[in-house]
Amino acid sequence: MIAYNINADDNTNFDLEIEAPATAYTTGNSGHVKISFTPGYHNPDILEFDVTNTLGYLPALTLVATNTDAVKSGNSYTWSMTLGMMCLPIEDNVLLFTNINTSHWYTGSVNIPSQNMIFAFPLYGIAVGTSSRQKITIESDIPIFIDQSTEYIFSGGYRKQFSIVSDVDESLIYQVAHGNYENIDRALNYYTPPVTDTIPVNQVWTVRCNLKKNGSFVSGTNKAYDFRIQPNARIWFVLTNRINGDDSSNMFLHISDSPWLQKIAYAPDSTYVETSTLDNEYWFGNWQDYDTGDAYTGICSTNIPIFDSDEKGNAYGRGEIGIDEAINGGDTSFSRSTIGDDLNSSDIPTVNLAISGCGSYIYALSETDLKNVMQNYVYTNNQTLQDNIKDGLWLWGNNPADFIIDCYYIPFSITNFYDTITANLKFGTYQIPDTSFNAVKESNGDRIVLFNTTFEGIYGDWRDYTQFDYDLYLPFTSGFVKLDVQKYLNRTLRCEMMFDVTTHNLRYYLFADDIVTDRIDGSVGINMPLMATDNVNKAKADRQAVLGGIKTGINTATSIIGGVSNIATGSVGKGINGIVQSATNGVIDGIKVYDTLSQKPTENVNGSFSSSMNIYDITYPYLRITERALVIPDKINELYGYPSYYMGSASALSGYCEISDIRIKSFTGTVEELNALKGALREGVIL
Amino acid sequence: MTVRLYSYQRDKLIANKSPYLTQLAEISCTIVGDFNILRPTIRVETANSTLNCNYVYIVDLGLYFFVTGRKGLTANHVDIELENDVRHSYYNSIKVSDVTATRSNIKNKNIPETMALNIPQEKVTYRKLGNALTGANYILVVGG
Repeated sequence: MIAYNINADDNTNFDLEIEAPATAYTTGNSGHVKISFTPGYHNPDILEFDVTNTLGYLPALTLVATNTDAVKSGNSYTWSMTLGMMCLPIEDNVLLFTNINTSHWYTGSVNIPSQNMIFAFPLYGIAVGTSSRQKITIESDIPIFIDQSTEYIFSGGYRKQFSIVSDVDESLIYQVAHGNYENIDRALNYYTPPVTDTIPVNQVWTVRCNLKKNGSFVSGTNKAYDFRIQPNARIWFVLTNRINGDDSSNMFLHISDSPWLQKIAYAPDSTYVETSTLDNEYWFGNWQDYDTGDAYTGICSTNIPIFDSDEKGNAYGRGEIGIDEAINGGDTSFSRSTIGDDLNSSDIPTVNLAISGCGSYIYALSETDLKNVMQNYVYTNNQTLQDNIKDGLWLWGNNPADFIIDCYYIPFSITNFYDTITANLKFGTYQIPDTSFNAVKESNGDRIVLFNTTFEGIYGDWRDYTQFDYDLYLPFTSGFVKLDVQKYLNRTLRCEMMFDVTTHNLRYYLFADDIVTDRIDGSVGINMPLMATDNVNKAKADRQAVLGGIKTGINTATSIIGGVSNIATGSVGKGINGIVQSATNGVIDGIKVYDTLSQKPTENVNGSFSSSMNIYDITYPYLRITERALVIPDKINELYGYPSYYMGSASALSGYCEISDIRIKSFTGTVEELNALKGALREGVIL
Repeated sequence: MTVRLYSYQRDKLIANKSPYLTQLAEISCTIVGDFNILRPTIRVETANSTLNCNYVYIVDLGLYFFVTGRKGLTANHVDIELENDVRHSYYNSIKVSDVTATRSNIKNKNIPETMALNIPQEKVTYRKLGNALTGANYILVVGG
């Protein structure tokens, strides 16, 4: 028997011992594991189970404790622990994960600190990217820390290559941060990394997401940190939430994924962990306000497909013409704005228009869906004559195309702004039996945060105000918006975007430190000329003719079948075949025209412009910074001092000065001399 | 009156010139014409020192003067035209007074540098602020 002693979470006050048979080294062998807890702390005191080694390595076990309840007593919480386990192989004392799909999230009991202390509470988990380069965005309006807990991986980290899953490049295992609770306060001085960065391979990072500004915590939703994981990479992270005084807010974690990043559910069953109703967003943390100041956090992953798999361009240097692809504080993953104001009318009830039975319905369709609707339901094609006649009866002479009010194409996903629900597609009384169409729920639409960045000057002095023009480009607007530097410089510049699905209009709001300072309107959408062909009306006429023909058949023939047979052999039936075919081709051809638009340009600004640019526009916001050049000789300040406007004792001055006025305190000369002295000082003096 | 004759080779704007003065002589002088405290003329004996000095301290007045010119040179005497160096003469008064300095060693970064020269060149850079809008939809509005 081989025994391992593991120092488990100190906060849970138990020691953990794992016993495993030596045969566990061999793949396929099984062993029995017994975990003994310090008596009196947990029930049961001994946990036993069998383990089968499928890896050829000695398995090690780590307990995963999930909190289910917390009882507050004084300044402490006691957590009821539910124990689970995760099997980890050991090689050279380095822990590796046996199964990348396995995730465990941990919360531990903590002591609530005093009011004046900053309190940290960790969670951690694993995100797995198996195909595309992924990006994880963490948002918070308080400082957060990404740390690795030393309590969970007792060996201090994992980093070695280990071929567990064949399609995973183990060399791309990344690790973020290290540290422990004791380092949290010292982390105030941690290095604050660039907002967007790629985590080095096999390196340990300590990342502090410093959201403090001017000595105070920033309020509102702010970008904390973006980092990226490579294709087939996995990332382990511990997110530490902190609270100070009466701070309260949420922390969000977004993981871009489409759909390769595996969505990992969090394990804790904590009542304090909230799950958003949105499919692609989870609350990461939720504050609970207590007098003593404490916090509860959750963990999340998301599935927002935002980022293209390829990334182009490099950070530019000043003076160069280029695109700064490094999104400095601006990547928001298009999260819906959570900042409450009157722009969102939350009192408008949400109604599922698709099943409400009246009014108009709005559907957000893919190109395939639209073709499907038009080809297979609106303009029947490839059907037997009897089917066409049946359609004529069903529609009662109406043409479903007559119910089309509008149809247009927008080059972005409407789900950024509106919630949708899968439902039938209705054309008046005609309802397509397929229920897979996305119907837009009634709402005013949400705002999305297009970017959120600190608008900082280049030099940090007067030149930032006088020498620069800042022109903002926003997609689907007319030209550039000249930013008033006085409004935005050294403030947080945020842009929120709204889209009205009924008018195709866009509206952007620009915020300077959460104050709306500008509003820019635009429009988008290419109307689809679905009703622009005579074939449509002709098809309708033919259907009506079919209906009339059937009625005639009923009245004049000995049976309906006979009537139908007559029609089938008559001119009307031929008309149906001919016209419906023509109508179908006309519409489908119209759609095919827009097929060419799917050749979406991948590089919008410094790449080649395709003919479809008039539709797609440049689809990301950027800033054009024009700097008017200055000549400032190097010696100018040495020889002539700085622009100063200093008022005070001359004893503080040295070197060249131009003194515009002097309040003399001790002078024995004449007024004539005093005037001469003032003139000389205005001319310049070297003190 | 007694004057000290100096050679001074530094910037006129330096207020405290004492460290940079090289004394040539200390002699007697008389005032020529009407006395002007800012621009007096003194008569001294002709000598190398009186012909080569460019800075003068009149001991009886406690004032420093620049030598601005010479005239009336004879074998016995020469008249030296002076200008009161008020920066040096009242250096101590300046140092203890309150002043308003438009340029000094104390920088105010918000005040433009008036001595900078604008040149007709521009640098244009671009900075991406957010990610591209992605996806696409065909919006179909139908009557019900």
